[in-house]
Amino acid sequence: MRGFASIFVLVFAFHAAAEEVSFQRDVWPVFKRHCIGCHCEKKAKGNLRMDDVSALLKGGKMGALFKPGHPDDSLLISQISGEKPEMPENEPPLSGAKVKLLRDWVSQGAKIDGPPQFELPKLVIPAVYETAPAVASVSISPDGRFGAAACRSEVVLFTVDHDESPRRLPTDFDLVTHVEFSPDGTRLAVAGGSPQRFGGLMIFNITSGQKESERRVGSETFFKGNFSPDGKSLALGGGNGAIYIFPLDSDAPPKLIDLHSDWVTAVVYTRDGKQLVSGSRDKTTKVSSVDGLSLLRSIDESADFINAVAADSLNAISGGNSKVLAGFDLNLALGGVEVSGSGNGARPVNNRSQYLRAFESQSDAVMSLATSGDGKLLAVATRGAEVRVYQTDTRAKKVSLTKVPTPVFAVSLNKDGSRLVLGSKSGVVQVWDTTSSTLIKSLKPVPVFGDGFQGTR
Amino acid sequence: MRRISAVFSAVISAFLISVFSVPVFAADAEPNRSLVIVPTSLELTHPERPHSILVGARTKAGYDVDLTDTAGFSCSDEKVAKVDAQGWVRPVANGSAFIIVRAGGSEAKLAVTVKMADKAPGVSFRQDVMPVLSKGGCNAGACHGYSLGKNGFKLSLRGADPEKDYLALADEFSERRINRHNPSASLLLLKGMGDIPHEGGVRLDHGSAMHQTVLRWIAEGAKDDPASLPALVSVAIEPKIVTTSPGTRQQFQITARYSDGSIRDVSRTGITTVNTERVARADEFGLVTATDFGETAIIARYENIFAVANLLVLPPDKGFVPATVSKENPVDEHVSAKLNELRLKPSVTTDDETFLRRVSVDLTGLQPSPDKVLSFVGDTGVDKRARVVEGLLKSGEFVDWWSLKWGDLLQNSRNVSSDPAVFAFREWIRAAVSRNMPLDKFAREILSARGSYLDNPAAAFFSVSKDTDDTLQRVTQVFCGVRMLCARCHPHPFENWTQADYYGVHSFFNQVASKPDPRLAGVANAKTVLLNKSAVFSVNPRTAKPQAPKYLGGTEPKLEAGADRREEYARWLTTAENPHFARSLVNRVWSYFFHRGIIDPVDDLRSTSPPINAALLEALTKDFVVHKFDMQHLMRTIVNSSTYQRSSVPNETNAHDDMNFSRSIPRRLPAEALLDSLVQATAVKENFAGVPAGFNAAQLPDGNVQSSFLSLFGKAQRMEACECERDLSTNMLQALHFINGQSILNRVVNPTGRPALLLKDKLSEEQLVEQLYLWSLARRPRASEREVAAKFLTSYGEKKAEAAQDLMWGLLNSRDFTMLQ
Repeated sequence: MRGFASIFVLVFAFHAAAEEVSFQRDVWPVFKRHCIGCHCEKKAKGNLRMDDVSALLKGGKMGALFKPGHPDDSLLISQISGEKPEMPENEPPLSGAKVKLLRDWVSQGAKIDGPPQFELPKLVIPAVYETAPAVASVSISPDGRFGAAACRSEVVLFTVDHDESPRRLPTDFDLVTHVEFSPDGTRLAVAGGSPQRFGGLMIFNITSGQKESERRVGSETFFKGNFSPDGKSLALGGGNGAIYIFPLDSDAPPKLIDLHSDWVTAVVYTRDGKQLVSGSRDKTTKVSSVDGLSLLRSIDESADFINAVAADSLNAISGGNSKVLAGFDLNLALGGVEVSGSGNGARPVNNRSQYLRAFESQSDAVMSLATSGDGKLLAVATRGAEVRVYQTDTRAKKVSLTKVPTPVFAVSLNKDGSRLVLGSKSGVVQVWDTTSSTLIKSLKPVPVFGDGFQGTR
Repeated sequence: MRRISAVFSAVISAFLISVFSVPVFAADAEPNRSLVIVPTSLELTHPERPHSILVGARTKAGYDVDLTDTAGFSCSDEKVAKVDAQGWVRPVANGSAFIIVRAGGSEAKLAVTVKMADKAPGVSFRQDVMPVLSKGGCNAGACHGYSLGKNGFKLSLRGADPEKDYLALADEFSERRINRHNPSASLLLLKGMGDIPHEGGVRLDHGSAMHQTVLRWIAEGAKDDPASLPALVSVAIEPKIVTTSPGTRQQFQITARYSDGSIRDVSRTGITTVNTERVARADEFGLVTATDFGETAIIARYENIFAVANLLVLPPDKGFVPATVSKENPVDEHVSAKLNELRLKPSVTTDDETFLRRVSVDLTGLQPSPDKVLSFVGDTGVDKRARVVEGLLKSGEFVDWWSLKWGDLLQNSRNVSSDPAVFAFREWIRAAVSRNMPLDKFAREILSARGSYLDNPAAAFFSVSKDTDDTLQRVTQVFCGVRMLCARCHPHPFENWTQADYYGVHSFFNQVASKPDPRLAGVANAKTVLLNKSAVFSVNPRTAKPQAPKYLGGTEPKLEAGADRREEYARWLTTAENPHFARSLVNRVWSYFFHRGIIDPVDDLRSTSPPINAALLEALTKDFVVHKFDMQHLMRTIVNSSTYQRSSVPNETNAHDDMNFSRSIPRRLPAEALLDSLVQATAVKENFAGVPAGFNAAQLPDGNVQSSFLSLFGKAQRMEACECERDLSTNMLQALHFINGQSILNRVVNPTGRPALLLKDKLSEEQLVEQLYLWSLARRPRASEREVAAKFLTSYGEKKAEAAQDLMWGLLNSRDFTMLQ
């Protein structure tokens, strides 16, 4: 009687079900609870999927899962029965009632009366938020007039020099991870998805505010990415260790460079558009060829996750949880490496110490990096209470902004680097003039109760 | 019913009990009128933290009955607090009231005070959410607590690092794991409840209290805790001791105490486990069902703190008459008291011959020779057992045997030390044993030794270690019986040790370095132990800061710069107040005389492995300290007790008891004792290579000896400071070696072996049988055995030599030789 009420319901549900077992109503919940952690699309252990009707009928490596009408000849039943059942692996055996239910279902012909259903809660974008959503990504248009901020499931476009009310662009993603203006300032890329479900990309037209295109790919959100310098492609880091290159002027599927062993947390083009610099949760920073769609060289292995990458005209730059910000001279790093063709044919000439271009030490984990459109300035956000701007040619600190809302999750610079926009976990977005270190604008992009917003819940 | 899973049968039995109100006690076991209520009063300070009430009673026959299920509860003022049918009290508004409990025709009252803050506190990450992650198993070692995490999500092992876990859950990668604006769409919940495929299975049920806690925390903004959050100070479990019978159930209550003095009932979020699964099983809410006779510790874990209760499952009372508890010997006093509690009658005192063989092997590693057996049997003095003990304590074999034991524990071995250093340390130990050096002094001298064997032979202790970690583990395991290895990388999973404890001890020993001795160039493995007095403190990798020396589980002493920090550790270790040293040594010594320690295993002492008889261990420890760490005094107390001298034959009450020393449990002789006894019995020596001629097995300098007999019977190799190195198990290979191998056969047929020697004496057949029994088994044959043996010899006709050899071969192959009965 101690909190068992919900199990009681199950007990009686099973009793009632013993007459006519329904796949969708009775069997699927058992599969969902005990089986699909391993026998799902992503894992498919033993080549078996149990989250899809045709796959269920096909069976796995050991053959058909069941023989309708013959529970004693069915793998499904033998695997979960006996003194020490094989399945579920590393978990307590199924209860007698559940085993009986599955037996009854197979005896009755293993009819599938409807596809497996995942009941996932609907996403609602609040008109007014209870707490300000963290800003995961920001971008400032090349001319410095517009800003964009990713606020959980929506993106907000705002003007820097006027107090027009921001334009809210909703998505059906759980999490927007990346927003970016195209190099010509006409489009806005919005990437993200729902964790462990899908990756998504939307392209908006700035002038009309209309969605130009929308795609869903894979089963994990995208992370940070970058427009190619010509604006014709967008590269995004993927959850499967690959870089996705999306052509923006056709519906062609993305091209993949599969190179990391864990999430690609950030990827940027080099200034000539020929190479991609990527950082990953696997702690490495890598350079790959855009034409060859192949890895050129792993240029660094950090002590911890890489969160952000950047590229100026000479160097690749990366930073992450190890609190180290490092530049790498690409000409030296790739010396001797075959740039075209398929794969890395030659041995690199130089070792890390020869091409490392170290920056001054950082006070905390590096969260975000951004270069100005002309490649001359680099903005660095860390978990500490400071955003720094460096000159890329000398790696000297040019500006230090200390009155920023911590922690800053994202930074962006406009074309000439005069304007910097930042987004914070606290939900605050700020625009700074980097020439005079003055705050131009500070806003919470979405309305929040009790925070200047007067209204009723 | 058997085939239905535990959860379902628990549901069904819970259902039956509540519907039919079946009392769990039989009619002849009516409870006493007085109810036992836990707690005795209540103070509630948090609107979301109810507190449970346990209702119990004790039957006239001495069993505890849990009446919580059948009790009725009401509150004198429902405007202050409400109580539900299960006895959970929830605060309503500030004020005072009484809870009235009715059960078994009795009534009891307890005061409840509600003192809530004006503003409702939100869900706390550390106090509310972290326990859910622990209870759900999310941060277990096989899941996201694994050092690399799982599937991209890492938590600290068993919630050791809340700061990092907060970032992982509520911050990392753009807050991907929670959605404060759509809480139920949070990845954390979708995975944990299996709504999207989760390899770890369903850890939270929809609508469960655990689900609600996490959901509310996210909806409130997934806030981190303020620095002022009260810290968890201690965890308690009630009732502490329960005496019950198989088939009955007992609800346990787990409470957590915080630094602000508040107490919270965590019975539903704590984790309850049973140490001896044969005796009882626990469900996920602390309801324990007794299944079989015996005794078990019930372990409650909340966050990283443990609390322990004891469950005794007894057979029905059939007119048990408690034995008189004699206070003459602390061993008998506390063992008898415990046996009375358990309604066990101890076995009778064993006969003289069994006693003599047992005590001789235990004290000296050698069974008694025939003359000793006969003179002991013939002795009519009442104090003859005590006298024989004194003789054994003074014997040379005693020194051999206990020097061997210490050599094992201190890992004196030519694998790592030079030949002269090993022999010098061996002599040092032998001198200490023979002078009966108090063990506190013994430990202090070893732990502060330095130089090479030329300076101080005891320094060899340090040259065994590969590094400071090795030293730390050996020092804590040998002298405190504590295993610290786990705490090197994360909080110990079964004890309250943290990395601060580990590196605190590490800093005491990190001045030591073992270097090749320049004075002994060319001598293999010649080392000298040096001290770098300016060594900085060891760095705790969790905080990345130096950890000052910290006594094991104690405080950080102020040390002068340049001090030999080991000396301070050794001083603290051997103070009378030290909770580990004397206790662990007493327990260890005890285990050499019985089949188990009072805490078992003896070198893995922790709060989650409680002593089987706490009073006994405490009394012996106190006595050991009072007698200034005198090892011989301790041994004398043990072997002179009736407890030690019991027969192994069970009586009608104690056949199932293999833990409480109600009878002697047969043990196999250790390898060296077996071989030396075999040599003595057959008069055929064993020659060992690489040691001086004439060394017997107990005198060997280390485990580095080619002897298939000794390795087969589990001689310690001295590679680890663990009692588990010595293997006392019996196996088929050993039996085959005795039957087919050369060790016995070659000895009994040897022309100068025992059968040949006895035949020369022209003994009568009866005398021959008696002599063979005495030499082989250290006892005279029983009447029936004489008869069988006589027939056996007669059947060989004139082949007298062969007959004697075969009889001796048979005796040495019996359990009476390999085992201490």
